This record gives sequence, structure tokens and C-alpha cells, in this order.
Amino acid sequence: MFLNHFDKNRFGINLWADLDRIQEELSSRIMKGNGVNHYGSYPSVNLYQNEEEVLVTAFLPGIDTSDFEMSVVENRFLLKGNPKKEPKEGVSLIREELLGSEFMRSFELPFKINSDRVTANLKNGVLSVKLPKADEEKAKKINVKSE
Amino acid sequence: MNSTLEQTKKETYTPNVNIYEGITETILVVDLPGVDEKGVDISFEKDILTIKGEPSFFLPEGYKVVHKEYQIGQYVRKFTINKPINIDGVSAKIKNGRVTLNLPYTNPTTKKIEVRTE
Repeated sequence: MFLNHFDKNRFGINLWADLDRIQEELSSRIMKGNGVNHYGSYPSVNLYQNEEEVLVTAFLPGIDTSDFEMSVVENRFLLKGNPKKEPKEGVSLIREELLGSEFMRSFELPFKINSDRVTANLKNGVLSVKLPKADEEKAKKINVKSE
Repeated sequence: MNSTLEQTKKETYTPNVNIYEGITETILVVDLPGVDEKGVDISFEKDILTIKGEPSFFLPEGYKVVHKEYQIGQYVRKFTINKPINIDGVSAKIKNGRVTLNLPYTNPTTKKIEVRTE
């Protein structure tokens, strides 16, 4: 039987609407996915830099401040955690895409970090950590005196 | 401090989800990092449930990107719900960028049948 692709009423419009939706979903997931590059790293982290500091941002949806810890040693920043599982009663898991296993990520910065001035903020599942340069790493201006 | 949206052109991404099914309800858990309660939009039309998330995630000016593992954009995901949902009983909450949506059924699929002796 030859199926005319333009004869949308043949099997009822709903079938085609469903197929369109499936195609839309597939293309969306294949082409762009969930916005996270699949490096296999969890959590996903972006790093930004200016003259003064490095800004680390990490996607940690569903995670509380008590679920992770951070540390700084010399020029290394460490982020590790173990998200709490939230068991749901009376239901069974039929599809699982959310990440949430124990994690550890470590970053070596090109400068020594001033650990006293590190600030961190967790908002709506996004962690932002500012890692300022240690004072001795900052370029010192040298004044030249004329004689 | 002046802030600016990191990306001017807004891509749409498909958020990750966990789906739970039970006798009385379906639960959807959707990750929308960077989205607060004002940025979530949930609608139910016929059997299609649509969840949209608009991140309120700002990046201070004056930084350059040195390493990138995620993008910032709008989140959209649609679900076909093949169960009779009690719309009035639907509830949603968001915490730390994670939405939990409870979709109770209109009629529980199990019914206790009493057996009488004659």
C-alpha cells in the first residue's frame, strides 16, 4: 500500500501530530540535547577569567549546600559531593535521565588562589565560585623615578 | 554591578527528566538549572503537558570564557500523558533548579471488589 505523506487525514490528524512531535523531540535531543556537552563529566562546569580571578560555575540542580564541599590548595580548586537520593513512595521509576551520583572535580588554575577571599553562591541549582589571585601573583606596578 | 545575559541568541534545550509511575499518580522530576519559580511555565492541553523554563542566570561583565561544558538557554519539554489526570489536583514545586510535578489520576486504576457470600 502506498502511503501518501500529504494525506494527513488518512489515519487521523493525531497520528501525524504525534509523529511531528516525536521528530521534533528527536532532532532537539540529537542536535542540541540538554545544553550540556557530553564530556562525561559531572557536574558540568564553565570557567571564566578576568585579571583578578577565575569564576567557576557548575550545574548542580536538586543539590543542597550540605551535599557538597569545596577546597582550595595552592592553585588547585576541588569540588566534591554526594547528592542525597530522594526516594519516592508508592511509585516506581520508569525513566531515569537525572544525574546525581557521587562526584569529584578538580581544576588547576594558572595562579595561586587567595583562599581567604574565595566566595561561593548556590542559586537555583547553579553554583558560582570566585577564586581570586593570591596577592603575590598580582602584577606589581613599578614606579620609575626621574632624577 | 552591571550584569548581562551570557548569550544574546537564545537556544532551546531539552531538560533531563525522571518519570515515576504509581497506582494513584505520575511524578515528573525535571532539572532546570538556573531557573526560579518565576521562570517556570507548565501547561496542560488535551494530553500534552509542556514544561518551559527561562533561566534567570546572569554572568557579571568583564570575564572571558576559558572552558565551557554547558550552554545557557531556554528549556522546553513536552510529554504525552496517557492517563486520566485530575487537573485540579496537579501540584508543582521547584527547589534548587529542580521541578517536581505530581499528576494525580482521576480514577485510581485499582478498585477493591467485595465478595459476598450467598
